[in-house]
Amino acid sequence: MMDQFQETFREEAYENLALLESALLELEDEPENLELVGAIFRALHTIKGSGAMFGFERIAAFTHDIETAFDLVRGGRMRVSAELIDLTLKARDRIRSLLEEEPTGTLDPETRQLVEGFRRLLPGDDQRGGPVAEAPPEHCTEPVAYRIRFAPHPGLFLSGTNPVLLLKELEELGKLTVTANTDQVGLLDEIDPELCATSWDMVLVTDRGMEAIEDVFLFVDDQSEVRIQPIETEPDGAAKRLGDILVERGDVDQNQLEALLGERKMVGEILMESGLVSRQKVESALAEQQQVKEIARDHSQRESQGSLRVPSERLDHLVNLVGEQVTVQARLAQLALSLKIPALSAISEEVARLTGELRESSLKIRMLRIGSTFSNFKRLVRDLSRELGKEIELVTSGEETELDKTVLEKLNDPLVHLIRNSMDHGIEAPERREAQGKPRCGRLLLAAAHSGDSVHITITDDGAGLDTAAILAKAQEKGLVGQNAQLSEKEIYSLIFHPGFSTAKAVTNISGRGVGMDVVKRHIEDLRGTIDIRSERGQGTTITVRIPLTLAIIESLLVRVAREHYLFPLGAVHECMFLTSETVANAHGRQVVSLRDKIVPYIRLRDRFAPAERRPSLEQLVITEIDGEKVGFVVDHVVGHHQSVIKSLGPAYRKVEGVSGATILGDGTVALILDPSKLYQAEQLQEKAA
Amino acid sequence: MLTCTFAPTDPERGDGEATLHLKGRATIETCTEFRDALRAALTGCRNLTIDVSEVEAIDLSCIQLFCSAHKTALNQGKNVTIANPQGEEFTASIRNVGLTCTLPGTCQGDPDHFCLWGNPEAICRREP
Repeated sequence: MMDQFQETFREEAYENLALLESALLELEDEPENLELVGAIFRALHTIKGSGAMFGFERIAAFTHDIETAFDLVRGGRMRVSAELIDLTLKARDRIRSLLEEEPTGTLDPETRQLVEGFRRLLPGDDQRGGPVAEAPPEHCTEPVAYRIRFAPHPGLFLSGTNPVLLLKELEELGKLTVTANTDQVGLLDEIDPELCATSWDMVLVTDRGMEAIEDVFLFVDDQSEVRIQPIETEPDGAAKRLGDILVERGDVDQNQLEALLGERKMVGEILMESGLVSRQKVESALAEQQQVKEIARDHSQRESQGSLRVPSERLDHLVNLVGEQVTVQARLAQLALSLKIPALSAISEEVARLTGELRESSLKIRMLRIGSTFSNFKRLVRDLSRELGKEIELVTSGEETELDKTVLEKLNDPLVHLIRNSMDHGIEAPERREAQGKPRCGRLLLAAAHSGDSVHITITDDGAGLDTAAILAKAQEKGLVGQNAQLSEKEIYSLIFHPGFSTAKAVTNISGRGVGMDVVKRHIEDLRGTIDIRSERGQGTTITVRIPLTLAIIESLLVRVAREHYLFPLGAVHECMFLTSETVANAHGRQVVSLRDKIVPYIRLRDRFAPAERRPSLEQLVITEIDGEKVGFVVDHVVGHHQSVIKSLGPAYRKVEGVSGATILGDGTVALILDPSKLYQAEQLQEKAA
Repeated sequence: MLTCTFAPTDPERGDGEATLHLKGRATIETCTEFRDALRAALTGCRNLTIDVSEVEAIDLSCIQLFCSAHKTALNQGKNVTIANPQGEEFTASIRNVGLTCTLPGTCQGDPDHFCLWGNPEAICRREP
């Protein structure tokens, strides 16, 4: 059971660390932003508190010192410095590593060094390393319970102050429980009715912070007692025991309490009977206990209602089931079409509608905002800029764009590579930029946007742009192209995706090992995506990555060759046209067609998949775009649009070039999903070999 | 202005039960005369009922006097109850001050009696 809790803690800690990182990076730009300081403090406080609760002692101990520093910042006793942010970012990385390590034990030297770093940053009096008194955040969003004791000066009425109005003001701040203490009210013979003998114990649950409460008592004279204390909740969310509350309030001594607890009665009863505390004091403590219980209950209800943590395997299973249903629905539709029974057709249409909605909804559950990935890059850009001695600003847009969770996870590494490349090879050193009349600080724009059933991610830098001459020279040197080859700009750019290609003069640990861009391209293609480069010398480079929204179901174009069906991802298809035997004859044996005055090469799918079959006299041509070039694929017949549930091929077929998966059609037959880019590459290789 | 009228609840029975009828505003301006009326009333009876049906306003200075009267009565082995506290003005004032008690016992630590304000709307409602 503990393992399960620890796993939950880890998951939440990762989320908090991500929040911490993005807040720290923002704080670097806005060091005076107290809301960010509050957010950082809360993230640290949660990690520390839950860490201690679930046995992550090392994390709790380590985080305590960082939290102390940010508590001082919150209290205005320490300033946000570059050193503090650096140290906290390092500490954040360390906590991440500690999450994977043994939870208990002593702190290792690296962690201790960080702790010492934090302690050195603390102002003189706070370098002791002990716990610092906690005050809840001033601008907290979570409600906090406060214990308020108000014992007015007896002359309060004479000064014209109505204490009930103060209570009403407090009520406006949140949920208030008031208990009046009248134990000081004297007998009729001795009472001066013009003097106030009543005091109050209150519990206020508010998200307005301590300052707002203090403001209510701003005009109460100094002789009145006003005590405002945040109520510490127990780590497990349980309410405090009544006796503990009364001890904390100073109404009863710990020793007296322990002496009385020997009696087996309710503690409130014992205390009242003993005369140590009045009924009203007990009543007030009970009210506090109740309030804290309610906060804990509200909190857990909000947590459970707001979101639901579900293992991603369950979602995968759900999507698989929906996939099966899409297939079954296609079969039903086909059956209804062939039987021509109106009632069956109506049901089939209804099932189709529901299946469509179910598909949309289940795929939506897996969608995550790309913003979380983008915010990871802020740290990358910050650290790399320093390492490279460059000044680079990362600007992001389209953070709200959503992508399938699996796609997003697999996209991370290629994007890191592309960003590193832009920073290392693209954006120039500040001096060089200035000499060229550019601002010292380079700009890297990371943008995401939806386009049909795919997402476009662009990485734009305002750096030097690609040096086509250098790329060509390098390619010639490596024998990738002939010495006299005449290549278009686009073709030259595509050379950088060739394995082992790099023009960097010096190999840095950031990029320049020539292992990057080909791997990037492969990863993107594995995601059924494409990558495209546009560049202008001296102005910068834009890399566009197009990725399908999901890997589970794709929109595709269904075609037939002989008796088999195949599918082209719809995103890759530009247009379809007829290919007559006349056009074929006019090409004099070359597999090309003229499309709006441009020569487009084509590949016969029949040659690849059904060579024995005789081809029809009128064929159809599916025109696709591969690396910016149009390439045609000849098929017997274009059937039309198809929604395909992707089924991966078994290990034996995984290496078949040009096929990325399979799907089941409405009639139960299997159709292969083609990868036009791989098919074209395989064809080119064959030609070369021939 | 506050008028306090004291009279035996049932003059014929002479059982020491008396009612103090309040009419008007029980506030800081009238609290001294209210105290004096309470003192006099408690001296002249064993069980005192304070009828608040015609109280137009009450503030903390006079609310304290109710507590004081209750304590004094218990001290003398007498009793004080409140009659007709159903007026919104009265009950709201008591609630606003925070005098809503649920536990047995008084603020003086007397476990055998309820606080005067212990659930005033239910316990103390009595027809005159």
